[in-house]
Amino acid sequence: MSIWRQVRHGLSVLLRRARADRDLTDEVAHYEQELTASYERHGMTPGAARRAARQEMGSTLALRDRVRTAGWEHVVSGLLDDVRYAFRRLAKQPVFMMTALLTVALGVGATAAIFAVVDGVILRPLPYPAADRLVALDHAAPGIQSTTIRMAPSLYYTYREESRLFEAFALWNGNRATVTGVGDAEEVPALFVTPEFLDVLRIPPAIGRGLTAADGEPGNPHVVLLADGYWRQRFGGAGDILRRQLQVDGVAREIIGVLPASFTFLDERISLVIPRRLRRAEEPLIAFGNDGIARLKPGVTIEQANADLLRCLPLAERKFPLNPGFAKNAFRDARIHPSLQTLRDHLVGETGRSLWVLAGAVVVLLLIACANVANLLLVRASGRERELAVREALGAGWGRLTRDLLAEALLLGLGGGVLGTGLCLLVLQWVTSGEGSHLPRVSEIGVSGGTLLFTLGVSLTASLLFGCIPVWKAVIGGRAERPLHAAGGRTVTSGRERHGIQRLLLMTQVALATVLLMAAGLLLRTYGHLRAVDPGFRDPQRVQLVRISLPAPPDPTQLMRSQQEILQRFQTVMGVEAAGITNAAPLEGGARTPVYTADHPVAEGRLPPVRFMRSITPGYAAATGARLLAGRDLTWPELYAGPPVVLISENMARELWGDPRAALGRRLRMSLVEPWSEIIGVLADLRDDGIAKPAPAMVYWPLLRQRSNAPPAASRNVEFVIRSSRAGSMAFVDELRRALREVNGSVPLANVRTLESVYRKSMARLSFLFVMLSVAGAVALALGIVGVYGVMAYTVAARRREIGIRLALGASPASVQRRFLRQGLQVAGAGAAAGLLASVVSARVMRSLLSGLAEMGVAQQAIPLAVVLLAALLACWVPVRRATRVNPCEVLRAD
Amino acid sequence: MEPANTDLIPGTLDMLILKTLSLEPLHGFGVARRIEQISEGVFKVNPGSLLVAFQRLERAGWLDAEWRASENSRRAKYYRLTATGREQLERETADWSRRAAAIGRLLKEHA
Repeated sequence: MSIWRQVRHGLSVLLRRARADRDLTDEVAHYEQELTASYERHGMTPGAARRAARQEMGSTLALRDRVRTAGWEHVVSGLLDDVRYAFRRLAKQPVFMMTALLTVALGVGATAAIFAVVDGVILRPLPYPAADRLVALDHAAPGIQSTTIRMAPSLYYTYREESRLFEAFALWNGNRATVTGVGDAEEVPALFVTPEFLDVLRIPPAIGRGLTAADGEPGNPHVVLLADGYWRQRFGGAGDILRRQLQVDGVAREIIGVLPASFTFLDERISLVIPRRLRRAEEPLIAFGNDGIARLKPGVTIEQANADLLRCLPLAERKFPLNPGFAKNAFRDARIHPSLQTLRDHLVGETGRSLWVLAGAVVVLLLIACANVANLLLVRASGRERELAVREALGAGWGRLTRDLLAEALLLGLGGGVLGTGLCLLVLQWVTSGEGSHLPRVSEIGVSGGTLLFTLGVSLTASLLFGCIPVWKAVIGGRAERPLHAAGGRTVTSGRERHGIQRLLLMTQVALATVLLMAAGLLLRTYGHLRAVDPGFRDPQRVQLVRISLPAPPDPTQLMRSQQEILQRFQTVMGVEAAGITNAAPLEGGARTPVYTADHPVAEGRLPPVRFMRSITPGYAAATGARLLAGRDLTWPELYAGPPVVLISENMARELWGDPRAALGRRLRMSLVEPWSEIIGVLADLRDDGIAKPAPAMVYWPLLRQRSNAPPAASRNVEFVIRSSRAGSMAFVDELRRALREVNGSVPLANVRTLESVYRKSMARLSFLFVMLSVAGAVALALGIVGVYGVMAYTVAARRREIGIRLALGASPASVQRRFLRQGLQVAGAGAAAGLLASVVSARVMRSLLSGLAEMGVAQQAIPLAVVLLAALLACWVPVRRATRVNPCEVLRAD
Repeated sequence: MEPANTDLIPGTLDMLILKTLSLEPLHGFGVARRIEQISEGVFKVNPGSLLVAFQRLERAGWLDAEWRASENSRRAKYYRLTATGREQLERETADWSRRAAAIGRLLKEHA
């Protein structure tokens, strides 16, 4: 009640200040009048009464002031006055104001943008209830030199039956499914999951029911769940969707539910969720082509969970039979152990660490911006020295002067913050367009209330940072010397101390800019190294990739013939130079298999080395541009009828036989029950594991692989690799689509892209980081130049008198210029040297966060140093040159 | 001889204003004069302290103010006690009496 009245009263005074003033004046006047009248009644003459009343009242001005300053609103109105005054002062110097505002905007905007990205990608939990208990079931297998193997059905069952610290497990596979029967045939992204999948995530469907254990059992009706987007796009959001049938990969499935619109899973675009039907009795021990997720019980740590699963692992060997043809000790030799991560870490991966590098860079940028504005404010404050001194002499307390200077800083900070928010929106728009960044969780990046609050906080902190330094200098530190300035302004030089702090700020700025430039240089070198690496293919912009999934016929050979027919039809499309088929495009493979070599036997029951594998057809090597170093390509008759042949990578040939040529005629096989395959060719190394990593040893099996006591192995879901100068054009893809329709009208052309886009995507994280750091470095350099220029210009202006005297006494302009340049360069040089030292530390931090970073070379240090020093020299030279053009007589006569 | 001390006892101004206004609404000078008259010149009120106190009491909700035309047709601000102001006055009076009585007893005993 009372507080409310206080606030209301204060506000009404603030809003109607003129009226409140008039009321007070009237009240005081009335008081005085009554007092006078009372003296008159006691017999005084009117004049004496008036004097007596005045004496008793004292100064009515002081009286009114005393009443006026009693309420809280007085403080606010004082602040408002300060702000208004500060704004008027700033507006009088638009160049200074714009420079400071833009500087703050750059610093705050960059910080806010990176905060929004870090918040969306790293900090915010995944959109599931209690998401911190979700883990990705990843494993490592040091025995086969693998740090990431995923999950096997055998382990899924074992963990389910034996673990103690988990609530539930689920397997999932992201894949494409062909939907027919509703309009045109189309390939849509689908998740093939075990029935607990949605329960693990705790996502109930928006319509209908979720999956039950029965949906995963053979014999029951086939069912499917739709994603919200697919339901709206394909069925117009029909309300009677349940129980309708959908033909998926040739199987009629009943629609049992629709997922909520908010549902996303690991950035995969999903249209369908389909229950898998595993047969426990038929699962082999080793089948790691699955992904797994699980939910921990409350309070369980990742370490405890790892230990729990590690205990279960050996039990799997007793529960499930070893795959036929595998070495007896394969499972144990692989030394499989769980390496769980939270689902979020699994998704964000190394991107998270590069974002921290960026966060560090923008903090540095923000510091530079603050140092810069602080310097500009210092320059201004010393210009106002006389004014401040006069005001202090008239009785303004230091609190009053402080408020006055801080109001200016606050205005600049908040104004810059508003501009910075605009800048942040622009940056985010570019980042989330996806083209530049390929960031995970990009859809979750946005300007949230938290980001705005953060931006406000940063603006205020920055204001205080750059506001306090001039306050300290001008109000508190400058007191001792101020009377001198006020007295006559005849001092020749200004305080040594102030220059000290300006130099320090300047040095900091130069040093930080140097660090950022060197970091950018380091990334440029890393990037350059990678671009220079031979990835194992040529002219990726001329390689078109499309995926086609044919319905599986009972006979694999028939499947291969259908695929070959499509390939042959593609080869007749105008502009096609070469074409082949593979199970996975370059850089998108990753499947591994143990490989037995006839002349490098392993001990009985032991596991041979594990190699990358890829299945190809004739034409694949020519289409990707992989160089054939020895031997020849596959032929179609070999695919269909044998004898079994393979190609291998150069590094594998060198490892086993010393020379590509020597590998020809040697024999390999994948398992002990298969026939030997003869090596007929050696291809150049392919950096399949990522451009930054060494090329893995690779075996190229035929896409149709003959086996001794089983039907040949084929793949239904394959990539067509087509080399043409028309690759990537709409017209070309349309012609391919038409060609496909001529052969098979019911399969879609999916995942259309060029090898160049795959290549670029594989380097996206690095190039994103490089672009961002380069921008930060360039901005830092620009700010540094502004800072050096501003301070030099001020120093020169403040010392015009000294220059004038020197010139009058006969110093040559050149010698005076040299003097000033030397001073400027001393500061810049000291800053750059400090930056050089700091960059050694920053490079070490970056190396701990980013793998595959290049070494810091001489060029990465010399070029930024040279750039910084040159820029500083230029920034000094312009004001210095202007100063020595002064006429000594004029300067000395001034004041 | 030094002039007699006419300062108010610290902390009593609010109570005296409330008491004065409990009889009838008055303007500022009216309150000052009434306090002087009733105290028979023992207390003299400083105009500044009085006006600041009016502000404080008005904001606390114990006084209401209204503008009236005074006898010579100038604007005069009249203060009036509110219901909560009356309660506050009773509280302060009771408190004061209790303390004054205690001080009286103490002074008597050690005299």
